Amino acid sequence: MRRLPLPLALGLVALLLGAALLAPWIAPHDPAATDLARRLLPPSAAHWLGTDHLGRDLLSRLLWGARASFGAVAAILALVLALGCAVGMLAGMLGGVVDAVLMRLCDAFMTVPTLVLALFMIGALGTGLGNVVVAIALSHWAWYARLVRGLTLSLRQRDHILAARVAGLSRLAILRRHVLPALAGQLAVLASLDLGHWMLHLAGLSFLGLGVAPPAPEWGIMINDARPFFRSAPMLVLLPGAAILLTVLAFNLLGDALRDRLDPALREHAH
Amino acid sequence: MTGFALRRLLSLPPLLLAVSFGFFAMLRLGRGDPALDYLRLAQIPPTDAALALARAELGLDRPLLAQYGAWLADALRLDLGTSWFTRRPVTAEIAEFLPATLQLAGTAMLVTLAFGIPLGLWAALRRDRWPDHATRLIAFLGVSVPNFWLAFLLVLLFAVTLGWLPAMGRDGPASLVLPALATATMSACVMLRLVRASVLGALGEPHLRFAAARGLPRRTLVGRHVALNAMLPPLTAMGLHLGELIGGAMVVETVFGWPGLGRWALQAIANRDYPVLQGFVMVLTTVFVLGNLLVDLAYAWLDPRIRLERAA
Amino acid sequence: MSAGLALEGLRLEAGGVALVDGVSLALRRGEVLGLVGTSGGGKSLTTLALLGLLPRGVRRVAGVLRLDGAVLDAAAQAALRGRRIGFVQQAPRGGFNPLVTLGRHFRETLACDGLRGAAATARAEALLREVGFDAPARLLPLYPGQLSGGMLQRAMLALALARAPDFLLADEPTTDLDLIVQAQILSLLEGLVARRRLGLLLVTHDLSVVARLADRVAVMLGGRLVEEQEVRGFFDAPRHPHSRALLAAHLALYGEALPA
Repeated sequence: MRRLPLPLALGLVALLLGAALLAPWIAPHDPAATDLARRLLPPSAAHWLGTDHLGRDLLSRLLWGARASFGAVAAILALVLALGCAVGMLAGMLGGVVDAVLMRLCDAFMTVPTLVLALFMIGALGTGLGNVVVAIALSHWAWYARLVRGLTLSLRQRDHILAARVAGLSRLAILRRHVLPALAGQLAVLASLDLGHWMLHLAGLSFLGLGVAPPAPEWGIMINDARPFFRSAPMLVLLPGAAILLTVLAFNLLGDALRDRLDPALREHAH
Repeated sequence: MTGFALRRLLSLPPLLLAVSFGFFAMLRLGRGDPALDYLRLAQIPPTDAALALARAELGLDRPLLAQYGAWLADALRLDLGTSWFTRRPVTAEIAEFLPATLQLAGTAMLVTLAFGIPLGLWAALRRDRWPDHATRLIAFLGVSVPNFWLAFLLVLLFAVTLGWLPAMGRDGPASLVLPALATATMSACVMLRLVRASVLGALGEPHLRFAAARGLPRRTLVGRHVALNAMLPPLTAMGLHLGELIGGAMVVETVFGWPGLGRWALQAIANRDYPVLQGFVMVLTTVFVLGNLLVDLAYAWLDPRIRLERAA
Repeated sequence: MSAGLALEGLRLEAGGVALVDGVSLALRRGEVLGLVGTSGGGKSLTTLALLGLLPRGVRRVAGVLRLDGAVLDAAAQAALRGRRIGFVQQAPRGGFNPLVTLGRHFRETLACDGLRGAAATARAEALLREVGFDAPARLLPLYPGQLSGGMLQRAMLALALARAPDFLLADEPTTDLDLIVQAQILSLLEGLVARRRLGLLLVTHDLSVVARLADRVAVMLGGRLVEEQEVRGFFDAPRHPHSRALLAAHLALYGEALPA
């Protein structure tokens, strides 16, 4: 397989993102409108992908489901980057005891398998999409903190930053003007490689019924919802799963393309 | 080597201690009043008197550290408390459900290695030819597919349509096949990519050129010098894979009605069954940590650079 | 020119670009040919082409390799690797598999000729003694990481000679070593050439190494051979401007006397 170029990956992500953003306008039906007279219909002109066991339009639910997924993944991304950068830079800039304590904290978080930690967090925080997002972010931030700390440490040794320190720039100014921009590329590559991974965790936890409550359209819970009808109407399970697969594929394509573009030296990144 | 093993072993108790306190504190401070959850699960109306009694019984009126101390003292005697919901000892429930999860995750690990290593090696040795393109395409799909959805696909194909394998339950080796495949796919594909990259790295090592220049047969070059050196990075990754497989197993379990920790944990999450949650996360963390310890020891044993450095 | 190893009209390309073009060399047993030039001139690639071990992406598009007059195809070349033509590369630490003991490096090499067990061990010890180790038995169970660079370079020489080749290609054998060890390796090579009647191709950018060991000198520039002549003639009257520049630079740096 030839490496697919960055524009294609961007285009695919943009397409899915567009579907998510425009769902209220492009969805042909209300995703929550039940109509038991029209349940489990095959695809037709009115319902392009048919209806589910409560007579809801499957296409509309898939489009609205994209909103939930993209929103949640974006929130995870923001949380992981914020936590990872804050802790990593603090440890890298201050060093000493602060560094030691923060890194032990990271070790502790990395001692627990990510999905197990996420499950436990949801147990402690309660179910719901917001808590699932927090749980996934909390089980992944430590890797970023480690990375950011390492990069910050190596950046601190660079000439232009030493010069800025000599010139009396405050630590905060150095962080903002020199360290953050230098980190941005690396973080973009790593985070784009992880988006798909987070999406899969999100879908899994949602499938377990820990995310949004059933009437809301979300791909994982749609699959769980459709389980009793799996044999009679497999499309209700297959299509939301295909949507997850497509989204994760798009994220992974983007990650690979970005890595090849920005950081060809980065080795295969595996979780 | 023994010194390294011993030091590595001794580093575990403090880590597990710190982690267990973290879990404990998170549960107590996380949200709401544990006494309320306790009474709800015991189906006792939450009157003031009942709440006070529950707090005293659970030790919630004492400082957090004292509560943790009591839990730790029990835990060291392998007593993880009693489920607030089922009223059974948590250790008994773990003993009941853990083997099934470990069996599934362990089998998935074997599948990961059995697929990932040979295919990764094959892809690297046929670089840029069709085996490489084909395995990379499969790996790309494999790391993107949701495991629970793949589980449904496998059931649809092998159980419903072909009728070759059971769709549900844990009854003999045949029932293990589909759950293990669904759990392992992602890891196997990540492993495949890692092995491929690692073999390509090993193929570019200058010592391989010197070995070829001495006229060593391809069998020795690939079988010894490439395979041995290329296996070290995947070996390190096995620790992380173990964590992913344990987590993945618990999602896949629910599709197949596999009687492991997954359903038990979900019940505990829904019920806010604190002793079960604490026991669940502790036991899987311990399994994960011990697995990583084994990986580290295997690595140190294989790589003389570490073995000798630590001995010195 | 029939006896010895000969390369005629070698052309190497990578992606359509010629890296080495029209290079012809001849190496006779008991003779040392110094191949010099600035880095990137194609010296190492020419050496690897002699072994049939070109890096990925580099292709031989023209050129004939002969051994004692007979043309060698790829299979014949592979069969001669190590047995008739030995190879020593620069950066000795990179030449050894860090996960495998020195003894195993020798055993697997000697096994190519069917030598195993105690006989192989005895041979390995003899080889190590030949390159100047006093207690070779102690070295065999060690890992490469436990030896110094100079020790590894000597061990590499012993390993390259394990199958008693007639020709030895040495690519910058002294470059990464300190001066004392360099001198040791050079006198070792000198002795081996005399004792074993080796034909030695000595690739180097260091003219003092050439002055010390070589019988003839070939100069490469930009993938082409620009000069080849006897060592005395080369140092007395280099013909090509590049050779003169190399010599001038060398004298400016070291100012050393040319061989008498």
